[in-house]
Amino acid sequence: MPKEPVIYTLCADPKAAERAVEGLRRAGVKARDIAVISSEPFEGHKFFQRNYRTPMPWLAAFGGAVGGVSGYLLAALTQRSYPLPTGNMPIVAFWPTGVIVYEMTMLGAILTTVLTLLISAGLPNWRKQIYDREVSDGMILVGVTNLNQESRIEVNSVLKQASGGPVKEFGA
Amino acid sequence: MTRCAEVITVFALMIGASFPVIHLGRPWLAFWLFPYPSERGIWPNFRSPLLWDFFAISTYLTGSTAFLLLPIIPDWALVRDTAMGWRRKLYSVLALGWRGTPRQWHRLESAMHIMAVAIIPVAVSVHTIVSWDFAMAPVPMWHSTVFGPYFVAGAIFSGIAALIIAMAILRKVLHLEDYLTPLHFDNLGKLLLMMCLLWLYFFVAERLTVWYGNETSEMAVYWPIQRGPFAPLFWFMIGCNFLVPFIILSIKQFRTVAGTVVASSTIVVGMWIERFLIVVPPLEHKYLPFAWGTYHPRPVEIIITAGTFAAMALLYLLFVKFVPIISIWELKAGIRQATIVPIPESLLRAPDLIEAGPANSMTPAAESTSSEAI
Repeated sequence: MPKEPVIYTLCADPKAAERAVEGLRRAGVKARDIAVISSEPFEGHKFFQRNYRTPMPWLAAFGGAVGGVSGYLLAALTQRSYPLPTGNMPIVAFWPTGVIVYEMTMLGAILTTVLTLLISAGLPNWRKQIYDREVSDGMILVGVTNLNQESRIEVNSVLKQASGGPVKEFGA
Repeated sequence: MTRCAEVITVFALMIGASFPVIHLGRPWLAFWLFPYPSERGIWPNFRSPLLWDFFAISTYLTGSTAFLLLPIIPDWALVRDTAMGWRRKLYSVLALGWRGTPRQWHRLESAMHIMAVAIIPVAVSVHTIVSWDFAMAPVPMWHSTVFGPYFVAGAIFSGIAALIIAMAILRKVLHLEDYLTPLHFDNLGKLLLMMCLLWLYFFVAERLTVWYGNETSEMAVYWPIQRGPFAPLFWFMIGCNFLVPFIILSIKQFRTVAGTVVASSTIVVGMWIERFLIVVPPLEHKYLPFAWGTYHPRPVEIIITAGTFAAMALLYLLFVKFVPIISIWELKAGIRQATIVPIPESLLRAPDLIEAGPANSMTPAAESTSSEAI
């Protein structure tokens, strides 16, 4: 059985989506089995407030550190491998190497952030997943994954009552 | 607005980054300069500001492109859902399978916060390092400690001016009057006025210190700019960069869409002349008199310069053709928040409208404006 929402409804506003999610929780549906999809972020709404802590800032800092070290190694090893005449000045000078380290630090942080975003958000993913085009029109999709046949009627009722619209089945 | 500005940044950088290759004269032999292991024995010289440029511009281009493209993903998903035929396939690929789950939104917003913080020091560094291309060179009037902040201020100054022009054109051509309101132009006009004064401050600081130093070789560059063969350009630049914009932008009634566009146009022209005056006169009078000469632009240079403007216009138009130039999801979120948090009426309208009388009901224009205010 695919771990995808099987049935869902489309809510016209965040309050309806909130009612749907609350109703599903009361009906005993686990939080991880409730799917919410929207065309905009709904900050400040309970159905949007699941615990999505991310180590992204730390990973960005780590990426920056790796970038900085790479920058230093690139500059220092290159300069030592091919020492230019510097008139008794240091081969690996502080300021020019510092510029490279700085830029590579920022580049490392930026690339790590982008990579972390893509991986943690599951992108790219072109496989068929639960979705409804009406989400783009502003509707909020609330659905349930791993649906037990026993609870199907209750879930159906909750979704229908909350949204006031039909309950759809994905892939049907 | 962010997207309008980021597009300018990315395309300007792309065009700028191509110029070292164009300047070679024989661009098809550019690979001769690449420091790969070969019999030419070329290694990167890390003491050269040109190499710093390479790293700075690469980082800035990467960061700006990511900062531009990441928030477009949800918009591409929106377009995917409404497009038909090959366009649907194209936007399906570009949207990367975005659906809009809370996890995806949280991740996107976290990434955008980090990128927004990271891109500012990178922007400052790239403009500073471009200025160091000049300041590190032993050329009269280039070897200046103020060049770093002077160039950063100049980049912000001309960037805001270019943004205002782009916004005005988009507003007119794409009928975005409800989204790009007079208030946006008024606020950008105030920012431009501040940058105008900041530019003047750095300009005076740079000119005054050189004049006070009265060093012979620098005076050989200084006076031809101010009262010699370059004087018409110099005073025209002062007019374009300070006098005209200052008068227009400091008078509230002139800070309209048309007024800010006029001021911005003069600034863009003035800033181009400023760079011309930084580059050309010092090279005509370097420290060694045998290197002195007179510069006249040749037809090829004029065509290449015109080509950069054409390339910028083409790339911008193509972008606007295929990508929503205003972030749809951010606008929607802004409108929704504006209905939750009441915004003072005075913030929703342009100053001229406030004087005209009370506002009507919450129009889309007002709603979009209030989202900006938030």
